[in-house]
Amino acid sequence: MPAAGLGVVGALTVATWLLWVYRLRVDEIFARLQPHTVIIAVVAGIVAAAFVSHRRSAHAALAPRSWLASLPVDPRIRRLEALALQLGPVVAVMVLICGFGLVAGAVLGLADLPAKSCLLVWRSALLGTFFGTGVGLIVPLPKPVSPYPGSRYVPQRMTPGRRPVPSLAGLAIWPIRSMFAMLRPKTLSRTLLPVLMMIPLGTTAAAAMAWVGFFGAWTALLALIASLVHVLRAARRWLKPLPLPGPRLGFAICGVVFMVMMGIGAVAAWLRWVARL
Amino acid sequence: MTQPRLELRRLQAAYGERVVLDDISLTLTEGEWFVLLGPNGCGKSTLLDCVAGRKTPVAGSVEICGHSLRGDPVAAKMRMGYGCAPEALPPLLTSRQCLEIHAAAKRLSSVSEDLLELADELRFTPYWESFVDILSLGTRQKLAILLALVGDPKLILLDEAFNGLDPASAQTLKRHLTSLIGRGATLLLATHSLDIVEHHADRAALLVDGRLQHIWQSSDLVQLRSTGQRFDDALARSMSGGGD
Repeated sequence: MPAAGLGVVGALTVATWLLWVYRLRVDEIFARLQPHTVIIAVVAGIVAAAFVSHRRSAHAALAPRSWLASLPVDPRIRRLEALALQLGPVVAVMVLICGFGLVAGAVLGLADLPAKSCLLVWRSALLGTFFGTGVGLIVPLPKPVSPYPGSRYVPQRMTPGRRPVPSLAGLAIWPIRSMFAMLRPKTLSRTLLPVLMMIPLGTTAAAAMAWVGFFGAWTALLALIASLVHVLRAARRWLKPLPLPGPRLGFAICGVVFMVMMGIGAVAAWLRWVARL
Repeated sequence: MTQPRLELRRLQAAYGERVVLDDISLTLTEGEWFVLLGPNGCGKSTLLDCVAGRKTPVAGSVEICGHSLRGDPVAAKMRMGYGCAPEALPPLLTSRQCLEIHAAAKRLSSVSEDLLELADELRFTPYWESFVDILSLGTRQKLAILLALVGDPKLILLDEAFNGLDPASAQTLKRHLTSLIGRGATLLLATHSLDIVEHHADRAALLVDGRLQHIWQSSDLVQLRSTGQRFDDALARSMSGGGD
């Protein structure tokens, strides 16, 4: 059996074992989820529709530039290829949902626990994904967005005519700019959507704003950590031929960023405190 | 006798199991324009990477102005300027910030007027406040070259530096490099442009399959120029193993 096949069998075995060991807890989770099947279906549908629509848009932008674009391929084959590329990951997710639902249902059935709530949740997720995929395929293509240049979303104070002065200050600001480039408006709006959906009905506007701010601060913090890792690696590659010792380079990049992280952390803690009041 | 600017002894480099540089020994002296030629994938860029400290050789040693790159990397790199590939420049920094970082790393108190004048001659001045990711390939190439020249390095390493430059800028750069070499700098340039060998180089070497197959000494190049022969004939003879 090939290594990939062995991996799948191994993962299924481990998943089944975990489901069996924690069967009571699994049953409890599905019982809690059962009243929210409509929300589960809607969320699964939105995610699937957004994903498929994004894949279509990316494919439409990249296909004409593909190295295979000039090959004499039948247009029907091209359409099938496009469909496979656009739907491949969603189909894989649907197969996973089916597999998980069947295994979980079987485990609960064997343990003499009611499998009804599990099957209802599974059906909602699957139907939501299925209809979402359909919607993603029929909606008009969104306006293409060029991912580059990243500096479009980076604030910059211009000082034209200023004479260059030797300084490592640019290194300190690089991860912060990288964070801004990462958190473009589209990404932010997509991050905000699940946060808004998680806020229970009846929450006051002030508390909701505090929760949104709290999650926003955490998103910025995570993006800053990812940017810092990326910048440390890129700077090491770029500046290797320079007489800049590692600790000096590390301090120049991390010093200000750590202070910004502490500031964001403090804001997040304050917002959490405000939201609980 | 003056100290060699660059001394490579039995240098060997590899990517995994594949040996790309084998037993390279080379000495460059003060005020020399040395051109490295060779087919694609022969190891020219790897050789420059080893000299710049970007790649660690498997065996052999690199000395820059008498300082071992392994033993005293800071002193060796202080005397060297490396023109990185345009795509290696940081996209989210401005050109001015790149220059400031290079100058600070070399512990300069100010950026030389000479370099800013060269930037002006290369028509780069309007781009000092621009982010690198919006610069064209040629403009990025100019920035990479300007960064290599920060701090008047004694050894300048340039890899395909004339790629993407417009003819006027290429001419300006050749003139500036000739002037730097006249003032004692040493240039190691990897290129495919044979006109540089014909008109500017003091010595040239042909690298094939990771080995130095042939070195044209200064006298060989002077003779080529005086007889009006084209360098590509000499190169073709060397490539086919016929010698000079």
